Amino acid sequence: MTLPPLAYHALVGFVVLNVVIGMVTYVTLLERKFAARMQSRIGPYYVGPHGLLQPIADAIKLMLKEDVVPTTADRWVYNLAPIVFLVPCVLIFATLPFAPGLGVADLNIGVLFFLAVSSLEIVGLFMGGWGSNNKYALLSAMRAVNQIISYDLPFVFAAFVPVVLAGSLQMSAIVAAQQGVWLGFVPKWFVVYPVIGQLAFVAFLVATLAAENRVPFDILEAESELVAGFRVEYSGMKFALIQLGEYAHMIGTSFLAALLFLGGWLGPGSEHALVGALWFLLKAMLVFLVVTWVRWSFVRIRVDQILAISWKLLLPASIVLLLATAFWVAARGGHGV
Amino acid sequence: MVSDGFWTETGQLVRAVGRAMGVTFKNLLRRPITVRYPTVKRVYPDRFRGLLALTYDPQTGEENCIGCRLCEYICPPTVIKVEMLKAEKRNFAKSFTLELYACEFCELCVQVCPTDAIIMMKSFDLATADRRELLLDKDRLHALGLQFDPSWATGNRLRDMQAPPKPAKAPAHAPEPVSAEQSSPDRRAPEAASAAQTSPDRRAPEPTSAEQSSPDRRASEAASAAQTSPDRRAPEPGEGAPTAKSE
Repeated sequence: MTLPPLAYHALVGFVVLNVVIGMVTYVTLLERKFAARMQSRIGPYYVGPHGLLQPIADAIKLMLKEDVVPTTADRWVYNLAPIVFLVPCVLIFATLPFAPGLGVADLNIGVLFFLAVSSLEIVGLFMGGWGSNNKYALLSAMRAVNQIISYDLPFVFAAFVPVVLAGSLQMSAIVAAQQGVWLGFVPKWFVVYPVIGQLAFVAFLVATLAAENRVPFDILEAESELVAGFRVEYSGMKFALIQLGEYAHMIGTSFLAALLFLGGWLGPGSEHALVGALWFLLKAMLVFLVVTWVRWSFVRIRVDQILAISWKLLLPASIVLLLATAFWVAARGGHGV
Repeated sequence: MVSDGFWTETGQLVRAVGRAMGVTFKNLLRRPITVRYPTVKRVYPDRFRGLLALTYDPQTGEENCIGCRLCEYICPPTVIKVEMLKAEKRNFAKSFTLELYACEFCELCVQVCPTDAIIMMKSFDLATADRRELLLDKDRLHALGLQFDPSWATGNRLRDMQAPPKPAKAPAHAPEPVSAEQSSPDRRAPEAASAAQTSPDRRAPEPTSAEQSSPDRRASEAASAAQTSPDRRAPEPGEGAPTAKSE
């Protein structure tokens, strides 16, 4: 057990990376099954029992597909974009502690790192849109940049409410601050923190939807106008990488929501690292399912409506909320909980 | 976004979100309505318009088709081609081809068929990778007729249904229940008198009995119907002509 730190981190990083990729493949199945049930369908069914091998079949199909590069594309940018897109999306898992002591690196600025890195994906996204030399891809990439700029601020402000309440940017400390119960049975998660918690959670979820470019904020891949958005020219493995990145980002954000608001790995039996990790996964999947539920409940809204929601409602509300939280914590002598 | 006042708008938004998500949540709890098609087949309706097929007479084992070419004449996309084979007692179809890939499943050929020879099946799965497989000849059509469940609809039944409604012309019969089979008493009367005195239900024995005693009875029926009945299908030469020709 005395591995050199570098080798240890490399090993843990390797494991986490593979777990994340495996999770992403199966989350696609989860989403498809869930979406199907919302539309009274069954969803993938024939590959494996109840369609359980469908993600693997999809992955094999994508790997075997021909890799088409448009002749007019900017080759370097075009080929590099999926990697630039994927790396930040996977990198956000580096700071996530899945259970006490189970994670790659529990930075003391974990939340800040997460938020900063997760918005880096826009660079890869814009590279893809620009390098494809396709008007739809470019339009989509510009819309995405527009949207990320608008929604990163409320996203950060909403995420900082629990940070202020817990008094730390370190993820494990935030979870530790949510330990204990109120009135004997209500867990002290920040989502049940009176008023502030719920408002911050809703703001965080909405901003998450927009930051992940999910319905109803999916103008960058509006099928009716932009075909498939910035990845319209991608095929085969590059397309798979982009999909992987998107889902990894989505799951990462779900984990963050579970950690900031739903008490992370806390739950009965969470003294054991594996049970804690299971609780964490369960909560993150719950958040993911809510996001999917939203996806199948709403229509896409217009660009101006998206911007209006961000700048006129969400941003002021989240700033006010953050300030109110700060005053509240200060009035209590620096203790959020 | 603000036009009605901030709180009104926000309240409406929240209520709309709740309603939309409630609808999807209710759907989530429902059973899926998917029918896993190739393994589970749903019950098709009686008058399902599926594949076309030719029939045999169940009693004599002869082909029902008399090669009268009525279906060829009426077919809107002209996918049916028939050649008649003249014979002693009755005529046959020498060849009968149906280009199913161009068929529009309008059922008109079934409706005009005087001998219930061409019918529709309760099946539609004839998917194939080769277009030529959908050019059906006589043998193939007969094979299809034995392979699948036939639809309820046959030419004679459909023509019965198309008789005019009874209360308009015969108030005397008003008290008795009006149904598709009973709604054309005067047109079927000669037939019932001549052929099927045994059964009060005219529909059941008809397709078989019609072919057994065929040509002259059909002709007399058509002739009497032309005089007595306002039924617009009866005077059409289609019903009497081929049988008359065969005499």
